[in-house]
Amino acid sequence: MMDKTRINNRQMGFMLFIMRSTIIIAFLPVLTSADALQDAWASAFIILISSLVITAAVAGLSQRFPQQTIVDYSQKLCGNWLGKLLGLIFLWLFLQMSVIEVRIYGEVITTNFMTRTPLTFVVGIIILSSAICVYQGIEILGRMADVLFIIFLLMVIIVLILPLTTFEGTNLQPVLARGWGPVIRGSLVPIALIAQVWVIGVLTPNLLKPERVVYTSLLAIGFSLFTLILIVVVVVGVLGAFEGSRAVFPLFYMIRSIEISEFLQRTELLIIFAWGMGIFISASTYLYAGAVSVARFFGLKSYSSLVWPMSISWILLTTTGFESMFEVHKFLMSEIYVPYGMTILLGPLILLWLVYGLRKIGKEKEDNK
Amino acid sequence: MKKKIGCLLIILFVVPLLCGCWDRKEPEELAIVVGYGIDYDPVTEEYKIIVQMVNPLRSQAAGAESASDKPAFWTVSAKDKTIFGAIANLRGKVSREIYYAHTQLELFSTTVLKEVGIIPMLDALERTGQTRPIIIIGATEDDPEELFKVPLPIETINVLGLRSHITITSREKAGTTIEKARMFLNKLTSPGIEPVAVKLSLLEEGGGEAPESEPGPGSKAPVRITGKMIFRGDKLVGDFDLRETRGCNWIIDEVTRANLDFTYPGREDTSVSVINSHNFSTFKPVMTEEGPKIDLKVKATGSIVNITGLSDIKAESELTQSLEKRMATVIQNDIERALDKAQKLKSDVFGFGNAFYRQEYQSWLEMEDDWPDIFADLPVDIEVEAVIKNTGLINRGIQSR
Repeated sequence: MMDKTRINNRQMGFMLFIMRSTIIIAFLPVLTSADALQDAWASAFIILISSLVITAAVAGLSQRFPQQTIVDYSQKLCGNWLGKLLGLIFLWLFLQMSVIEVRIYGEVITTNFMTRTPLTFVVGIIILSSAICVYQGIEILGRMADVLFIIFLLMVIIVLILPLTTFEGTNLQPVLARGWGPVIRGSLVPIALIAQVWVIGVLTPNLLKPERVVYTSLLAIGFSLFTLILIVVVVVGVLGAFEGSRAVFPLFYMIRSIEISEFLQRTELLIIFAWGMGIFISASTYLYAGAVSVARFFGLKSYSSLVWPMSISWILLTTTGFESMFEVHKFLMSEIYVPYGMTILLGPLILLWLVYGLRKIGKEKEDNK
Repeated sequence: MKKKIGCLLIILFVVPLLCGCWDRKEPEELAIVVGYGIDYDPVTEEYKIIVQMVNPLRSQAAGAESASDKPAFWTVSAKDKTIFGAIANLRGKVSREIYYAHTQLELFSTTVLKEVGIIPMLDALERTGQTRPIIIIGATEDDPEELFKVPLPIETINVLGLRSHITITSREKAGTTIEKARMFLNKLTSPGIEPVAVKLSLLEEGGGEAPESEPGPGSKAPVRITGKMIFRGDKLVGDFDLRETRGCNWIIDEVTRANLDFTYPGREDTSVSVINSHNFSTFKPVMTEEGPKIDLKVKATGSIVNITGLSDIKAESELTQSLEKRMATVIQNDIERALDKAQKLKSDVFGFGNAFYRQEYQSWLEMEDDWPDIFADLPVDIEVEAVIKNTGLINRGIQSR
């Protein structure tokens, strides 16, 4: 192994929690991408179940190759040529997920708070600070996750508690009146977004206890989606289903529209703060995963020399990859992102498990002989 | 050494980032808007935007000797064919950057609400980042500009005064409802419920004076809150007077305190006043064979605050039951008045249709398209339970001997 530093399983759990939480909570595609309306909580429940299954499959694979990154073992399983191709897919995935997340955060900042600040500046600061963190090694990233997770969680809890005075349960009715169709439509995009769990495949070799990676990942993903259910319920309860689904950033809009007292209002900075830190962790993790994958792909000894050039190209792609917010929306629309995300997620997953299974059977047969 | 230089370079790189950003807003360069009004001229098809800005120097130095002699607030208006055009014209009139993040009240004239509807204004409110949906929505038949300018006794800044006026009226006498933009938008976009707005009226003529001429101790109340404006869709269709407003609030469970008067049983010349608190009301949509129906239950408790003649109420008796019955009748009358008015205007401000949507979804789908007509003839079973909790600090009236 090229990188001898280790992080605690807990730290990886925190990273996964934050990564899974940021985009899916801030953008709330469960409410905005389809017509789930007041039944969005049920969609979130479906997302929870299916995400757990997918995470178990991804982490399970890594648990069987505890000392290797995903780029290594896909080459080992599928052979050089196909394995390299899979490696490229993962590289693309890490890059793209990070581009979307940072871009959305940049858009929030530039549309709501700093309308005259160039997007490049906001994006540049996030990615460059992530690059500094990644350059220092995974241990630093793990510690950052430790520190920021507590703040992140605290903010999420406050965000959930503050609106309770304006919460109206009747906004959640009628319950499941239109059948399961809208519910399932609402869950598709967020399920496809779970393609991000492939980072487990890169982080596993650096874990203290790689044999417990499935447990850690399931716990982290489970908790983050449980938070999503709570947040969907609160947003719909405060804003109403129709208002909530119209907003570009529903959670943000919800927190803007509450007023606990004349002195306690304008609490949206909590979200932006937490979200910003979350984006930092996600961007760092993707950047780390990307850099390590590139290094493994070309068989380099160390990934650190790749971090700076990569971060520059990431900034470039984040600012120029999408022309406007419409393109981000269009990309995340269910008819585009769902087939795409599902392919990029399930394709390699099924292929790798299939090959693994076949090899195992073959090996057992050989052993039996 | 190399490391040290590297560190230094990083620090040098980071330091310029700390000093601010493109969008810094210096408080002394801002004109902080606390309220704005929108009026419309159907002849010229022009919008008029009226903003009220506070003078931070004056409000800081309030009470101090060195208080600036400048007025505490300034109201200014501009016109154009579009809302944002009017806002742009406003910029030409104000020496600072107009800043809307602290807006408390948005006041519409009934002309704009009847002619154009409220959607264009709400769209601007939601779309731009500065204003928040915690703004109270109000409407007036008078010129909003005069309402903003009329000198209010015991208030330094008009809009803040109006805001607390609205809060108090709604809380203490159920005279209106605080309809914040969040609620308004929720009702506007939800099926089977119509939004309302606070109704403000100018009482005295001669508004529009400069605020320097502070009203004297004997001046009349310049502004009154007279109920609710009711909408159908985004257009204003009518209003509730004070009793209808109270009736409406009984139905939607928004009466925190109300003052009820009725005559003493058996003595027409003696009246009883009750202030009630701890109210609870709920309604349920019912589908019967004859069609939809609403079951409304109201429970109100109150204490006697005044009896204008001789009285002796100590134990539970026929007398107290009779008093409670009379109290219930007052409430029932309020409710019926509100229902009549709303049904006449075909505006479901109570959310009866929404209750069907929520609880009887399948039947709602059949009624959805002609709900306003169904609502107009919707039977409502009213059941009022009134309880007199106590008689205040005395239980027998004053008897002069």
